[in-house]
Amino acid sequence: MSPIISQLLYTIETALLFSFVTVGAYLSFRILRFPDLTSEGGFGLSSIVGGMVLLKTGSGWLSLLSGVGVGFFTGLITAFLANKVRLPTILASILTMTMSLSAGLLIAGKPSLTLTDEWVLRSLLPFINSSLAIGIIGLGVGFIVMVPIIVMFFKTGIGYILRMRGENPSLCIELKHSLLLWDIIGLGLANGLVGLSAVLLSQRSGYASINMGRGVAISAIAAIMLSEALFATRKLHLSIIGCFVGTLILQLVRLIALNCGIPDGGLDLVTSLMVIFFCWIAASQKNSRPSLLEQIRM
Amino acid sequence: MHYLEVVDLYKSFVTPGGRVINALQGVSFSIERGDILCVVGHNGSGKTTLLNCIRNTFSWESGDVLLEGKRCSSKRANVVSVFQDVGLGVVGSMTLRENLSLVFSHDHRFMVSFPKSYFELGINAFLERTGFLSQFKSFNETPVSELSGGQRQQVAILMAVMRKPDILLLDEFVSNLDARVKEEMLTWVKGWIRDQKVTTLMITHDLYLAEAWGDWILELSDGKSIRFEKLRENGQKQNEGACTPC
Repeated sequence: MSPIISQLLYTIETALLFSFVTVGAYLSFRILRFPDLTSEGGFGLSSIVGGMVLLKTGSGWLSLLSGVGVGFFTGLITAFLANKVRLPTILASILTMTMSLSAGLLIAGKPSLTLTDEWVLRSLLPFINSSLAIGIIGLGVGFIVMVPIIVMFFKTGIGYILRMRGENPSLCIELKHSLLLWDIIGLGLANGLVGLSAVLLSQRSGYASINMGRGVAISAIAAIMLSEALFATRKLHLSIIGCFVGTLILQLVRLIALNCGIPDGGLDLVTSLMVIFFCWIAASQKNSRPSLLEQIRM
Repeated sequence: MHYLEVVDLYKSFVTPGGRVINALQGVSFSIERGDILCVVGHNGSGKTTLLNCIRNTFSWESGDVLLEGKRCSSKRANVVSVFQDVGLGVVGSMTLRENLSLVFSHDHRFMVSFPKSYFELGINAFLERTGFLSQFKSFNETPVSELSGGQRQQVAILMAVMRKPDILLLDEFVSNLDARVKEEMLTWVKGWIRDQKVTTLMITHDLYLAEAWGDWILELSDGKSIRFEKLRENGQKQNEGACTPC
């Protein structure tokens, strides 16, 4: 396989992995309208906890479950800080992010762990030899299955209340729903997806690191804004597919930047510049739907 | 024993600058089940504060809000509000039917079933009964945010009446509507209130509307009750004159 094809396939696999984080960010920012940066720390913490569970038990599935659980828990903490301690939403998520990073270091005693070769996707697709093919097929099928599940979820009572929680908290109170409970459910689910992505990435790459999540939140926001700038849609399923497309384009831009000689450490700068660029595009499109950042609650 | 009784209610606020505002100063009144009380007064006279005390969103310094002689709480009474701001009563990105199904969400908050099919019959029957079915048919699948202000307020009213309130609080709910829609809305809501015998408090700036609509009128000025008068009995004009003011 030529290096370019190999790089492209690896980029698709990475985009599929990070799409779960983008979908999580979509749930927080677009549905709950919560500026949630928890994933910056939650991603690393989930990866460390998932890695430790994998090393202790040898079970990839248990490791995955624990990572999702840790992700849910970080969302719960952010929701609690915002609703009960009444911190501004962004500060609540930053505090959880910082605490998650510290907790990850305390739990593992070191910033990274080398893991055993136990990838849940390999156990699901034992007939495929190539790790890259396993990643693309496994994650692709996972993402395709997730789209209708999320769409159907938001057509249930729970989904309706979550939408109301984000868009009209006054009505939520009027209908006697707990704002805290619904923030916990929404942010928990969003960060559970972040945890899922973190553990899948650690199992795939064979190591878990507390720094793995650096830049994931801003990349997810960039991906959402990118997809919304390219395809303005109200359809939830198209928005979720847009999360993948946005993430893929972002990963391709990062790939191009790497090939242009920009060092690995400079990629977050490229992502941030893209966020600024798409904010500017959104601001200049006066008649379009309110942009992602205009609608969030602070 | 009266159905809804507000007894010597005092409520004050402290501004960020430290100034004390006495929003309610000993307001008292009592009404019976099914009565309509119109609350009038200038801006800052305490009308909305009074409604918020009845909704239990504010605590107060002294006095009480009683329902059939006992403290009125959200557990004892289903107090439902409709506000002047049309955006407050609906979820803009949802369709009419999705908004209406939110009404059921408290009893079925963890339902796994899909409201579209689960509540279809109930919502259809309700819309038909209220005469709104044909009116709303054309925009069943349109997000409410794309409807006119009047239509959105109609959706908010529909949601309020579907919740079968014990006490209905209307805070200048027709002030943003044009004359024709306002008239239609007032007639329909009043008919529904009379039919269901729902105790209603309506805030309005319009004294003529208050006198035409209410069974009772309460006029507030600087947080004090300056007029509490019975206008009619069971929807009929009262000839005997004013009752004793509080």
